[in-house]
Amino acid sequence: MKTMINKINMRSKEPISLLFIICSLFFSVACSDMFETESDRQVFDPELDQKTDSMFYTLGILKGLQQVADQYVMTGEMRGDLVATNIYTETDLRELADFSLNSQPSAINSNKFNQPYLYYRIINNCNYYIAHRDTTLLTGSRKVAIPEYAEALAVRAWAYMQLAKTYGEVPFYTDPLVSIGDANQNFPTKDLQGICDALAPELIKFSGTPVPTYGNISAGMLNGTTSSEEKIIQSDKAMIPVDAVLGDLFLETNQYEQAAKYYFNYILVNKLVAEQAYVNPSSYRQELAEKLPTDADVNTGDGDYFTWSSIFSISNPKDIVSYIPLASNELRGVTTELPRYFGYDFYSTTGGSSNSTQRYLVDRQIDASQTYYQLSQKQEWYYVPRTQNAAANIVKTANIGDMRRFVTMRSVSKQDSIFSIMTKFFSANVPIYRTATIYLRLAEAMNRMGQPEAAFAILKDGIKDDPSSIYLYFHPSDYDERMGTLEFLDKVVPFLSMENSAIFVNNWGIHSRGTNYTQGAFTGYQLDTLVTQKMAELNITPMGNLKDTINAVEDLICDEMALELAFEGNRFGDLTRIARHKNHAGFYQSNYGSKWLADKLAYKNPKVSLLEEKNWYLPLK
Amino acid sequence: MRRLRFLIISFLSFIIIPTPAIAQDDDATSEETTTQKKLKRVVVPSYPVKEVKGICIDAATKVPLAGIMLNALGNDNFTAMTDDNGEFIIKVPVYTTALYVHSPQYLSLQVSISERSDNAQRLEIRMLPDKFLPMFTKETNIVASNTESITNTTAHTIEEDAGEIMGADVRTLIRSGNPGNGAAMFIRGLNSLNANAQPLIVIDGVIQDMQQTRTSLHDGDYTNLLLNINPEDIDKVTVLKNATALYGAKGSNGVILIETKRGHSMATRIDANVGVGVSLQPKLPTMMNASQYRVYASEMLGTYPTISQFTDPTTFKFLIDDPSKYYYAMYHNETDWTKEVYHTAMSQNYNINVQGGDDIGMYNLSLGYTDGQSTARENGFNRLNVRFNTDISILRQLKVRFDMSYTKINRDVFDGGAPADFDAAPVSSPTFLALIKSPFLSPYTYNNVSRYFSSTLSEADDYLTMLDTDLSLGNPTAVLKNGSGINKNRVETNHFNTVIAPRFDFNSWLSLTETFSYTLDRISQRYYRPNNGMPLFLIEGIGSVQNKAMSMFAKETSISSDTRLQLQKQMGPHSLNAFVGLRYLNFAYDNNQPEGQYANAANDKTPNISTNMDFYDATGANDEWRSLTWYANADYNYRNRYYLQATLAMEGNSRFGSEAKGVKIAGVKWGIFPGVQLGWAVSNEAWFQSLNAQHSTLSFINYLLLKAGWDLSGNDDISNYAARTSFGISKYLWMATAAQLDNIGNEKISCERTSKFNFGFKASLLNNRIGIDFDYYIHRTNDLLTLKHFDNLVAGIDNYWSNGGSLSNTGFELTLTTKPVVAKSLQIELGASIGHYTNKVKSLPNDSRIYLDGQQTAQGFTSSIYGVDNIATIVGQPIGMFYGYKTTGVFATDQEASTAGANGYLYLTDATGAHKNFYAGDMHFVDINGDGEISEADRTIIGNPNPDIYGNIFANVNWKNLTLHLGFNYSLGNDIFNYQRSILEGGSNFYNQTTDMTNRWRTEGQQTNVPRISYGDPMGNSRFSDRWIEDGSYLRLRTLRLTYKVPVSLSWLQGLSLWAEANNLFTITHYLGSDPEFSASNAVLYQGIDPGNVAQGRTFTFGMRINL
Repeated sequence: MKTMINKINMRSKEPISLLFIICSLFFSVACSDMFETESDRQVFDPELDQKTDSMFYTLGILKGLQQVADQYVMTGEMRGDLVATNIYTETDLRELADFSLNSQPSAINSNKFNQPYLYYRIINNCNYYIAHRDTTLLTGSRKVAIPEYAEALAVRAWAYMQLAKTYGEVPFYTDPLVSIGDANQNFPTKDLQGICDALAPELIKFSGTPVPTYGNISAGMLNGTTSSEEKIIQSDKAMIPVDAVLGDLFLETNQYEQAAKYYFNYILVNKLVAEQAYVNPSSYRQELAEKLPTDADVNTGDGDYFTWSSIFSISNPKDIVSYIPLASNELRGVTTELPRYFGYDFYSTTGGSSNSTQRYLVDRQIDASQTYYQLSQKQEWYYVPRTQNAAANIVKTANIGDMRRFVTMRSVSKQDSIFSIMTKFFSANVPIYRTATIYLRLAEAMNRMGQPEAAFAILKDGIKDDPSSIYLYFHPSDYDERMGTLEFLDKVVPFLSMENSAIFVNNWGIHSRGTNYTQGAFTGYQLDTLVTQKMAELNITPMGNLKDTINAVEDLICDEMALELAFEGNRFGDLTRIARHKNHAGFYQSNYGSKWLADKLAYKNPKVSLLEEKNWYLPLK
Repeated sequence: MRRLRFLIISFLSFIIIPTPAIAQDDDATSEETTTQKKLKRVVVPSYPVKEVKGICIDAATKVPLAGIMLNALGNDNFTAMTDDNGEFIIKVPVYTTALYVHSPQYLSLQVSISERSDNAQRLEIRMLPDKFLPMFTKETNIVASNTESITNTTAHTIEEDAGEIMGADVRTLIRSGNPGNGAAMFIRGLNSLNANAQPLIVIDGVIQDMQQTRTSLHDGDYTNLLLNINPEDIDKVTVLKNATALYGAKGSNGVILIETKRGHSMATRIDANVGVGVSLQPKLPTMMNASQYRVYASEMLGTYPTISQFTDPTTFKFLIDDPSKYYYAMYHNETDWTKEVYHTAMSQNYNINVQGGDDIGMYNLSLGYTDGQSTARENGFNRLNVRFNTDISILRQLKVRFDMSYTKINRDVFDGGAPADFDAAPVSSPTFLALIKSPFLSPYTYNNVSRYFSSTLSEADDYLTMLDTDLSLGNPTAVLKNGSGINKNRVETNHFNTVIAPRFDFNSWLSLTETFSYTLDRISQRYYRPNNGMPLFLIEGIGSVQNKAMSMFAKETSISSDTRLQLQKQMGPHSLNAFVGLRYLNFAYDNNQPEGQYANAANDKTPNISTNMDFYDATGANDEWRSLTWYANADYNYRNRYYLQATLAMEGNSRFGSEAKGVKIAGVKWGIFPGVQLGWAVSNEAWFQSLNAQHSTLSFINYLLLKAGWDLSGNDDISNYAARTSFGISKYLWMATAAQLDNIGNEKISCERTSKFNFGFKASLLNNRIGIDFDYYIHRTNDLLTLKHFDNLVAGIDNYWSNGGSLSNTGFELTLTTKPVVAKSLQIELGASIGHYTNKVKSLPNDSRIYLDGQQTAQGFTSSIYGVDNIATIVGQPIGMFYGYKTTGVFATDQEASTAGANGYLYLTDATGAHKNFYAGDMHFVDINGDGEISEADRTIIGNPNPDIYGNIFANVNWKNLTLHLGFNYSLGNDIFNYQRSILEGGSNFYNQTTDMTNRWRTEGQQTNVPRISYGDPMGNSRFSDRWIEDGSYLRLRTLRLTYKVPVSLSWLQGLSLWAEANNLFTITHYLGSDPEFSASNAVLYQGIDPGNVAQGRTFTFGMRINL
C-alpha cells in the first residue's frame, strides 16, 4: 500500500485526486473488520460448529460449577438443622446460620456466600452453548453433539433451580448475554414453578441421554510432603444428568408423578442400584465403649457391599452419580475451602498423609449440631446374633445409633483439645447427586403419590424382587382405595416388572447403611412401628388414615436424608422442599409445613420468622 | 549515479559501524555547493513597503554588531543584515508588525516595529549572547508547550533530563537509583484513574507504544523503553501540555515530542563525548546493631504463639552467651549487611556523532556505548546504540527521509525493595534482605576447627527454624553470588526502528508526505531466585519451594503510516499553515511468561524452567490494536498579531465498542477530537507600540503574548478487549482445557476524554532580561475507564470496564527566567518554575459508600496497594488518597488505655466476632465515630500523595570559558506512604528493625511513640495508619555542572571542553526514607507509595567533549 502511494506520488501532480484515491482506499478498508483484532489468549464469538469444540466449552461450564461449589454447600447447609457454629465461625457463615443475612449481593462488603452471579455465569455459558452449538454434527449416523448439548441444558436447569431455591424469584433468560446493553436490561423473574415450566419441556426431549464422557481427568498430585497420590476424576461423574434434574424440577414443584418418572428413568437407564454400604462398628469400639453387643456379627458377608466411607474417597468414590471435583491445589485449578471450614486442611503441604492429625484444624468453623447427633444416636442398630445363620428369624437391636455418624464426624484430639471434624470433604469433592440421593428423592415422590409403603421399602430393604423379602411390612390398610404396592412397583414405577426386576436384585435399604440389618420381617425396623413413633414425635394423633402415614413417612425420609447426606449441601433445600410439600398437601393446617420447618430450625434462634416463606430466601436485588 | 553511491555508502556505513574517515571521504568528494542555490526563485508579490531602520548592539558591551540577520517575522523574503556599524535598514511590507533577528552566538529575538513608515522610528536592538537559554524562535507558539534542546547531559535516559530542565511542565519522578529505570512523568496532574496516565511519546513524528503499563519480572524494576534512545542522540524535547487534539485518542495525558539529531550542515562535523563517573551508596535507614537486635529478637520470642512448647533455653542458640560454646561465634558477629549489597559504582559513557552531507543527502550518524552500574551490586546496564538519520533528495521535488536505529541493552537486575506480599515468596531482594537480616550473623560459614570464618557462603539462617522454617531469611551475599549470570537475572532488550518518509513538493507551498515507520522491540527477561543461600519457603496450600525461575519473552511490532498533505502559504498579512492527513497505527504485542519452582532437586547451575519442576505455570498476552485517524490542522495568523490554530481529529480504534461515542461512518464509530487555540501578540499591536513610545514606563515590556485555548483529547488505554465478548482459555483441573465466558463486550466502551482549557501569557521584560511564561488550565476528564458493577447480576460476571466517572485537574505553571548579570565575560541566568495542580474526582459510576469522618457517606471505593483497602478514591477528593487510621501515640499506662474508649478500653472485633482490647503499649488509634470499637468505620483520609507545588530552580553562570550550571528540583506538600518503614518498624516479626525500635514500649508508664512488639501483630499496631504517612517535601540539588571550554583553534580540532558534573549533592527533606523521589509504578493509584527501591545516591561524573 505504501509503495503504491509512493508510485502515485511520483506520477500524479494532481493532489486533490490523489487525496481522493487515498481516502477512498482507506474508507473502503475502514469498515468494521479493520478494527477486529485477534488474540490467541482469548476466543471471540466462537461458532461452536466443530466437533472438537464441545469439550472445551463443556469443561468451561463445569468449571463454573467448581466456582460455585463452596457457595452451593454453604447456603444449603448452614441454614439447615445439621450444623452448629462455634467460636471460630466467621461472620459470613454466622449470618447464614442465624438467618441474619440481609445485605444485598454486591461486590463490596457482601457475604461471600451470597454471590448469585456465580450461578448466572454457569447459566450464561450454557446459554451461549445452547444457542450456538451445531447439534446436527454427525459421526457416522450418531449425532455427536447431543450429549453435550443435553448436558448444557441440564446444568442450566440445575443452576436456575439452585438460584430459585436460594432466592425465590430470580431473573430468567435463555438467550446468551453478549453485550452490556443486553446484560443491563430488566429480565422477567421466575420462581421454581416458572423455571420448571420454562425449562422442563426442552429437557424432556433429551430424557435418557447419556452424559458426555471424556475419560479420566487428573486433578493433580495431592499435596503433602510424602504423598504422591494423584487425584483422578471420572469425567462422566462430573456431569449432571438430565433425568435427575428433571426429577428435581418436578419434585420441587410438587409434581410427584413426573418426578418419580424421571428419577426412575435415570435409575433404569443407568442401571443404578443402591448397593449395600456398610459401616463396621468394630472400627469404632473406642467411641462405642461397651455398647457394642458381643454377639453381633460385624462381618456382614451378605452379598456385594462396599464400605460406606468409600463414598467420600478421593479418586474412585462409590455411590456418586455426579459431583463437583476440585483440584489438588490452586496451581491445578479451582480449589475449595470446604474441608477447612469443617476442620480439615486438605491442601496442607506439611501435614503428611491424609489422616495425619497435623491436618486437623482446632479452629474449624462448623460443627455438627445436637440435632444431628441426637438423630443419629436415636436410631436402633439391628443385627443377627452370631450364633444364627443368615436366614435366621431373630434380629436383635443394639442402642448404638446410626453408625454413619462415626464416619461423618471423626473425633480427634490435637493441641490438648478433643473435637470432631467432618470427613466428607476429605476428598475435596462435592457430591451433587448420589445413588442414595436419587433413591431418597424417588421415595419422597412415591410417598406423596400415595405409596408410603413403596417409599419406605427404599429405606428398609431396597426395592428388589427377592424371595426373601416378602414385603410383610406392607401396610395395605386402605388397599381398596388405591393401587396395591406391588402393582405400583410393577406398573407405575416398574422396579419389579418382568423386564426390570433382574437389574435391581442388589438393591438394599438406605437405612441399613448405618443401622445394619433392616431387611425382612424380623427386624425392628418396620413401617408401623416407625410411623407410630414419628407421629408421636410430631404430636399428631393417629387417625389411622393414609395422610398421617404419608406425612410420617415423609419425615422418616427427611431423617434418612440427614443421616445419609448430611453436610453435603442439600439440607436446607430438602427441608424447604418438604415443607412446601406439606403446605401444598394441606393435610393439617394450611401452614403446617412452614411451622414444621420453623420448629426444626427453632434451636438456631433465627433472626427472622421462618413461618413466612419469603424468609426462606436470601435477598436478591 | 552519485545518489546511488550515496545510498550505498550510507547503507554500508550503517552496517559496518563506520569510522569518521569514511564519512569524511564521502564529504571530500562532494561538491562545494550550498543549499541556497537549489532554492527556486520565488516570485514575490509586490506589497507596499515601509522602511525600518535601527541598530543592533551587544547588550553587555553596547558594541554595535555587524552581520546580524533580520527579516520580517514569518516572511523570509524581506531580509537585511547589519553593516559594520551595526546599523540596518530593512524594507518590509507595511503590514509587518515584527522583525525576527538572529545570528550565531546570539539569542534570536522577535522585535516589534511600529506601524508608521516614517523615519522617526529607529530601533535599538540589544542582542544577548547565546550563553543563555533561547527565548524566541521564528515562530510564535500559542499552545502551552515547552521545547528544550539537549546539549550537555549525563543522563542515561531522557526523562531524567526532562525532569530537571522542564520543572513545572512535567512532573517527573525518577523511579529508582538503578540507572536506566527512568522516570514516571505526569503532565498537568493525574488525568486518568485506571488507565495509563503517562504522556504519549512521539519520536521524530512517530507515535510510540512505550509499554508503560506492562509488568516486569523483578520487584522494583521497570523496563524503560525510553532507555533505547541515547540522550546524546536527542536534539530537542518538546512537551505539549495542551493542544493535543491532533493525537486523537492518545493525547489526553500530554505529549512529549522527541526529535533526534539530523544533519543540517554540509560541513562535516564530528563530535565525541566521553564521560566516566562514580555513584556513591545512597542514604539508608539506620538498623539496629547485633546486641540491640539480640534483645529485640529474644523479646519477640516471648510473644511467639507456641513459645510455651519450648522449655529448653538452649534451643535458641543465638541466646547462648558463653564464648566457649560451639555456636557462640556463629551468632556473635557484627555484620553490616548493607556493605554486602551496596558498593561505589562506576559509569562510563562514550559517544561519537558524525554529521555532514552534500546537496543530495544529509546524514547524522551516531554510535554510543553506555555502561551504568548501580550502587546496588550486580545491578546495572550497558547499552550499545547506533542511529543513522538521513535526508535524501531523490528528485528536485521528491525528498526522502530515511532513518534507522538499533539499540541493544543488557541489564542485570535483582529484586529490589520490600515485597508487597510476604506470603507469596521468600524475601529475595538483596537490598531489602540486607536491612532485615540479623546483624549477628555472618555471610560466611564458621569453621569450628580452624576457628575462623571460611570463604564458604552461609546458607539461609536457621536460628529461628525450630519455631517455624518460614522464619528463615536468605543470605543476601549468597543471593547475589548465586543469582547473577546472563541466564539468571537479566533483561535484554533489542530495539530496531526504521522510518522511510518520502515527501513530494508540488510547489513551494504544497507538499505531500508519507511517513512509514516500523519498530521491533524484543524484550527478554529472566528471573532466577537461587537455591543456595535462600531458605525453603512454604507457599500456603501449594507446598515448599526452593528456587524460582521465570522468563518473559515479549515482542512488539509497531507499524505506523502517516500521510499528510501540507499547505504553507503567506498571503500578504495572512499567514496559513495547514495540513490534513491520515494516520494508521498498528501495534502487536505478545509475551510468554513461563515460571517454575522446584520443591526439591533445585540446582543453581541449571536455572532453567523445566517440566521437571514441581510447580510450573505459564501466562502471557497477545494483544493487537489498531487505530486510524483522519486529522486536519490549520495555523493561521493575521499580521503576527492574531493567531488561530484549529485542529480536528477523527479516530477509529479497535478498542472502541461498536456503539462508542462519536460519529458512525462506514460501519465504524469514530471519536471526534476538536481543538482551537487563540493567541494575541499584544506587543505587536500598533497602539501598544505607540503607547510604548509615549510612555517610557511601559517600555519595559518587550513582548507580550496572550493565549487561550480549548481542546479535547482521548486516552485509549482502555482494556484491549473490553469491547469484545470473549471466552478465556484456562485449565479445568490439571491438564484439561476449559473455555469460559470471561468478558461481556461493552459495545459502548470508548476512550477517556479530557477537555483542556488553557489561559496563559508569555512576556519578555526589561530588554528581554526577564521572561515570564504562565499558563492556567482546567482539565476535565470524562468517561473515565472504571470497573462498573452490572445493574443486575445475571451476566455471570461481577463487573465490566465501562466509561463512567469524571475528574478534574486545575492548576498553573509559572516559569520565570532572569538574566541579572549580562556582562562581557560574565553572564548569569537564574530561573525557577512552579507547577501546581488540584486533582478532584467529580463523579464515579458505582454508588458505593465508604467511611469518612465516622460516617459511611463518602461515595467512592478503596484499593489495596501495599496494604489492605488503603488507597481511597472518593468523589470530591483527589485520586488515590491514603486511607487508614489516625493515631495519637501509644498508651503509656493501663489507666490511659482503660479510659480511651467509649466504654473503657478501645477494642477491635476479630473475624469470629470476639472483642480484643487495646492495652498499655498498643497504639492509640483514634475512634472517630466514638463507638469504642476500632473498626473500618474509623478509617479516614490520612494523606495526599499530590504535591502542593513542584518545579525546579536553576542557575547558569558563564565566566569566560567556564560555565556553571545548577539545577534544583523541589516538591512541596506531598505525602508519602513509607511502606518500607512500616516493615522496618512494624515490630511484628523477627526482621531486623531500625534503631527507632529501641524506643518500643516495654513497661507500664513508658512514654514513647513506638508500640510494644508482638509476633504477628494481633492488635494491628502496624496497620496502615498515619504512623507511616510522612511529609515528602524536598529540595534537591539535582545537577551541579562545571564546563570548561578549552580555548583551542587547531585546524583539526574545532573545540574541546572538559566538564564535571555532580548529581544529587544534597537533598533537604524531612522524609525518613532513603529518597523522597521515587516511583513504584506508573499507575495513578500507586503514587506516593515507597516500597524502598534502590535510592539515588550522589554521583560524580567527569568527561570531555571534542569537536573535530
